[in-house]
Amino acid sequence: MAEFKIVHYLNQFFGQVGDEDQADLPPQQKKEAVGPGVALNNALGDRAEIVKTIITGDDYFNENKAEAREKIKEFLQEDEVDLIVAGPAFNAGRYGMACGGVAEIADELNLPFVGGIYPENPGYEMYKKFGYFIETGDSVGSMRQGIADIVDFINHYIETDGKPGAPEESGYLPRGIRKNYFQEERGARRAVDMLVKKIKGKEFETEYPMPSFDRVEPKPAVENLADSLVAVVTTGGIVPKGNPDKIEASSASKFGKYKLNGVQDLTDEEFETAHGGYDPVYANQDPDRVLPVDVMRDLEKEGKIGKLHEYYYATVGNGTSVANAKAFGKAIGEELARDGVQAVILTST
Amino acid sequence: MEELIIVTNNPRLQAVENRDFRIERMASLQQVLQRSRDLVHQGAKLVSHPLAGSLKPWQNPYRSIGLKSGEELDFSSLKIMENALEKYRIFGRKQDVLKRQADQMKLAEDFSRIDLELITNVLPEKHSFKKNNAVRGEKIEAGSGKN
Amino acid sequence: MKLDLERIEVDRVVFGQENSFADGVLTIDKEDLLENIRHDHRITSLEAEIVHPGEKVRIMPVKDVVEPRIKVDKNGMFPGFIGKESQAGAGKTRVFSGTAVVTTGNVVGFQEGIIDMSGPGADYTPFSQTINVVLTCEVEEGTEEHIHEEILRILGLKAAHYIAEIGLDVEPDKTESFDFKSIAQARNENNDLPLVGYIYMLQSQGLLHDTYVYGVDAKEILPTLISPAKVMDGAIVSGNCVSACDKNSTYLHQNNPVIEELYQRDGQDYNFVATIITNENVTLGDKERSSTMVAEMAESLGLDAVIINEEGFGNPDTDLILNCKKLEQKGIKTVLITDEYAGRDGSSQSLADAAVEADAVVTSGNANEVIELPAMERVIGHDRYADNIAGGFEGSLQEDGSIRVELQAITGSTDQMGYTKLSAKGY
Repeated sequence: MAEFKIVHYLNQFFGQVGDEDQADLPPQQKKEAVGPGVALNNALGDRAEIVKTIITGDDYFNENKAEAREKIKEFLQEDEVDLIVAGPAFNAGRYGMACGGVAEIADELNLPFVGGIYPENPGYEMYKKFGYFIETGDSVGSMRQGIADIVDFINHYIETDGKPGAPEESGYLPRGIRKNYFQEERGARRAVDMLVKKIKGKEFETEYPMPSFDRVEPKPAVENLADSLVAVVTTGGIVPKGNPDKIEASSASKFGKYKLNGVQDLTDEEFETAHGGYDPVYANQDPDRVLPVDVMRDLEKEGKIGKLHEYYYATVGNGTSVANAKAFGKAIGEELARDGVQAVILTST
Repeated sequence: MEELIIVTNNPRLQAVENRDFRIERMASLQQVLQRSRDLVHQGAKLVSHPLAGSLKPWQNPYRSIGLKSGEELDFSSLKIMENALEKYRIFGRKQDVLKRQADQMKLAEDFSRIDLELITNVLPEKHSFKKNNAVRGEKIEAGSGKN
Repeated sequence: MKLDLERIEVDRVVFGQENSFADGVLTIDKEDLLENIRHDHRITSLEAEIVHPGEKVRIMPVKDVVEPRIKVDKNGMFPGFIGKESQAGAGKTRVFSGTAVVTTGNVVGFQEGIIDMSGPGADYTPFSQTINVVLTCEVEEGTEEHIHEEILRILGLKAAHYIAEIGLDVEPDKTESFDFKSIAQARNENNDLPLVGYIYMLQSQGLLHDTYVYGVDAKEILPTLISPAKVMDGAIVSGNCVSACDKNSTYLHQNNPVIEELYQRDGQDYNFVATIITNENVTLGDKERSSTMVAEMAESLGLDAVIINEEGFGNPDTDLILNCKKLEQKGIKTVLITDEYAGRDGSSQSLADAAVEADAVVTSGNANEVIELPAMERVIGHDRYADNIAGGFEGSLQEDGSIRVELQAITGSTDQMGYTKLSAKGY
């Protein structure tokens, strides 16, 4: 047996338990490598070995966070572990969030973590500081390359005695962690060097990249609201009772479009929230708290707005990837424009 | 009319009553920040910056924030408030520890003193606890060094 | 504006019967020193000690650090405090290089500032490399904080001036000449080079956050031009007590590294023609006014590019970003120097404000990073303050006398004028 012991985390699908029907599977463990773990294990050779695989359904992990974490923690503490590997999760939202959650657990246990993930998967953005995430493609088609890159990193990690160095040199995605070090020249000298480069139009590298801004220029104000057709759109997950489109509680892959004809007020008998990640009691008691249809009807009667649009659109913002959110926004916007809507009120949780 | 509002949890401002500004007293730093944010949403404009000076914002358990009432949402005030709240969320978790520590070490006086000093910058000149009187005190003696 | 800095290199400092300097050894008559600098009747006790680099000594809480400097004609150093207002910034200035006066004292309970003369902490403070004359001063109980701060501030200046005076009869080891050109001169000599300036931000928020320009509280100033030679002659004096890591001690103002480095390439890559001081006040109105005036001043001088450094953290980030934005919007290129507060694990956003225009930033490190400082053989000041000082946190003083603190607590560790080599990068 190799000295370096790895525990591998997989979801129900890659853990070969089942498909979406097994998404509610509570954490289980097998004392062997499973699915992608087999390839991983083979590639690692004598250096390291997967001694255990933990498998959890994606929905179970995301909807029963406390229980899932507790159980996984328990599994991890049973025997000596040197490293936890998760995924690759590619661009699967719920799976990515679960892998990220495992990274957080590993951090709590002071265990190193390596995960495979597509950079736009929200699991990376949310949990990057807890471990090393290796970039993979967005789908299972990139499995072979993904496994190879993860193996390369694990080898590098072992060789450097757990101090792999900077992300760009060592093949992991930036963790967003600032670390101090001493430079060759003092700060004032570096500032002058940078200034000269900037003046001359030469390339220079800032030492602190400002947080990136995704700015949207606001449109001019609506001129005549009293004559306008106004729509409501929410990322707060308000859907007709029963969630007919099965919008996911987190990492939504779709949005819904629902009729408001004749609806004066969103009642708990007809509407609910599909949104995970927050206490839904108040939203379910009175869904108008998230999507204020009652107030819109009042405004309609008072003549403050022309008319409330006959449909509303809803999705779940919880962990939804930026790429998906952009696509939803574009599609919804196009439909609203086509229907002649002049103003939209957006609400979230 | 524009009204000057001081949102504060500084005990040194507890007893102050006057007609030039309104004091809203809060129980905690978090409440001070949140109340100020709410006032900004209601049209108030920040007069003083909600983060403390070089004394780290999460270090001083006392904070006073000056605002001017108004009608329209001031986006730059809102942005500054949200940034301050974000910093509080990151660093403010230690608040109870710090407060206990401050009590133990009898630092409360010093901390509230610093906050008072910062907020007096936004008050009308005549106020008696402005530095000229209560704070300034005796002038330093002329030195007599070697030269 | 031409200034000669005449440096005397010092190897050792000792106390002795009378003031003298010979063979690299500076001897100070301690009694005479203390007698001459004891400038206020509220001082109840005053002590001086000498510490050299490498000694197992911790100094805390540090109030200010001052380099011994004097004008050769005795007039003009620290204008507004000691020198005549009109004399600074020209002629000859004598310096005891490698030495510093360190004032300690407890103005407020949470005051901070650690200098370790050896061990891991010594790597982070520039003042582990200087031979320090450390002054411990107590004042009458009930002395108001402003007065206490002022007493200590003036004490440091007087001591630095007193010590430097010993060097007046000594032949300097080397002379550095600075000849700061006017815009007209620069245009005459190197017309094709861009004009570069320095935006020099001064902490000025009130009690314990003060800086003095010619003895005037920087809170009360409008942005103005200052001669860099005057800065070297102590025209800017620190009244700061808080945030040891990134407050600019008077020593750092006297040895402003941005001015020194800009001067190095003056006339080759650019003409360095303007140093503009500005403040960091509490009210947003003041911040807007000062930053607007800075940008307009830079524009009317025809500057092409500037370096901006802030002092402190928190609301000064807003001043820094306002200055940057308004200058860039006028087409003036900027490079910023700042430190970071990214949390102990380094994962939080480093500054309290941000702008896309700030695309060229030099960082002097994450002040929240935690460091373990082993116990020292001797502590000047008192350990009791370790738990209170910024960057210290509950339980930071261990039983064996070692302390766990954020870099914040170490004097000059993340200095934002870029005096040190500490930096940070993303992982």
